[in-house]
Amino acid sequence: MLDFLLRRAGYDVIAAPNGRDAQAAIRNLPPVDVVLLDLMLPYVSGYQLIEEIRSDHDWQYVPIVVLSGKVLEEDVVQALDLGANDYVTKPFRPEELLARLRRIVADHERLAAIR
Amino acid sequence: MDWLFRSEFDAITTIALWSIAAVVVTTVVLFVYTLGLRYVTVVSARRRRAFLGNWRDVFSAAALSTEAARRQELPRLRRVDRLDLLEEWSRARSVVDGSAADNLNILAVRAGIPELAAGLFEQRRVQSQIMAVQTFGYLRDASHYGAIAALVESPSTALSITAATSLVEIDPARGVALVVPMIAARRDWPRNRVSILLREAGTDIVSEPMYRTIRSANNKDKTYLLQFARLIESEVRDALVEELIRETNDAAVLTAALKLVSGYRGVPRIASLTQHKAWYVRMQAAKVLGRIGQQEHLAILESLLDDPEWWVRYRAAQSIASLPFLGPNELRRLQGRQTDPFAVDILQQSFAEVGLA
Repeated sequence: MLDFLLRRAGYDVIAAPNGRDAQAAIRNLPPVDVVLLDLMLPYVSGYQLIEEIRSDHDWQYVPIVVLSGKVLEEDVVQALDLGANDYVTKPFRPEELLARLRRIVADHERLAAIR
Repeated sequence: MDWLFRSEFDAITTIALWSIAAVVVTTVVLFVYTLGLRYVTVVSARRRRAFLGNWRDVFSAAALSTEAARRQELPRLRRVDRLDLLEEWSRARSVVDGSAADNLNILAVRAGIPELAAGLFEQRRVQSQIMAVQTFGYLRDASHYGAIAALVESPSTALSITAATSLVEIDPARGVALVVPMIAARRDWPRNRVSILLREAGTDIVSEPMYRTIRSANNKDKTYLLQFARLIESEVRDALVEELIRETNDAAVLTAALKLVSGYRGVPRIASLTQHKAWYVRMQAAKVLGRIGQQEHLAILESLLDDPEWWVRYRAAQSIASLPFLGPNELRRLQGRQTDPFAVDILQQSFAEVGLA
């Protein structure tokens, strides 16, 4: 559904069905405009991926939006502390998620222009 | 002797030849059977993928548009695919909220999902009942409310928490009134699912039942329930925390309550808790006083710098370092007037953490 939603909103989507594929994408692909990340992924957790993105030379400034069913305060705090830019809990409202992505991508582009 | 040998040889040869033939035939039959099974598996997996792919597109389009949910043409649905359809719909419905959820419910009615769930609900298998109960919750179908309420008592964790969630989705006020008093007793319910359930119900609905349940619980249950108190309205939470801090002397309840302090209510009592016999209460109280940041508490925090417990000293020092009315020079002067070496050490460490080494 996310794939459909994002494509319809005009994004090019690279989907990774598990943490290992996401890890491979971070290591082998050029940085993307935004990462939309679940925390509970097979093989490599979302937390590990946030750390990996933040420590990668090319990907370190890529904004990360976590979309997760984990709603406990400690989960949200941990993800944000590790470097996530925003945290959306499931169930989510599609239009709200798109609005957050639009804002984050626009901010990222502005900051990239300054850098 | 010769005839005997020949005859015996013929018999053994015949048996051997027949055995070889039987093995060859069996091998060929098994090989063909395996190939057939493989073919059927591949074809049915391909067909299932195509089926789910079609419906996923339908669900995605419906989630984003009421018009699509009402009007778009639905793919042909075979009887054998109905369970797959229900699973896929549930998966899509579980991740969205708001108008997208309403749209998927409209589509579900058109696809015959309520009837399918009703059929599953009649089955005795726990797995089927979980799926049915979850679907009724998503559809906000009140016609099975009583039967679902009975399932909240089920010894099966998965079935009971699913039933509790569905009741809250169907009728939030009624569901919360039934479920909240059960939370302390159902420690087997995953905390994450309980939090989701309460959050989905909304703070306005959860606040009163949660307040009453915590107030009437024993100390052990109070401590457990307080972790969900962040999901109630802030005014109610502040009042609850103030009452608990004022009334109880139980160290576990006090610690859980102190973690929820957000304002200035109950501050005199919090200050007195820095003398509590349990070190973790003293530590939490020191942390809260730092957060509140009042000039009058500086002396109390300073007195905790030579506490026998390292954590208390550490939190007190951190709180002092974070006080908004103390600049670097005042902090250094404060460190300089300490006579206890523990106090000097712990201040040094806390100042270093905020770049004031």
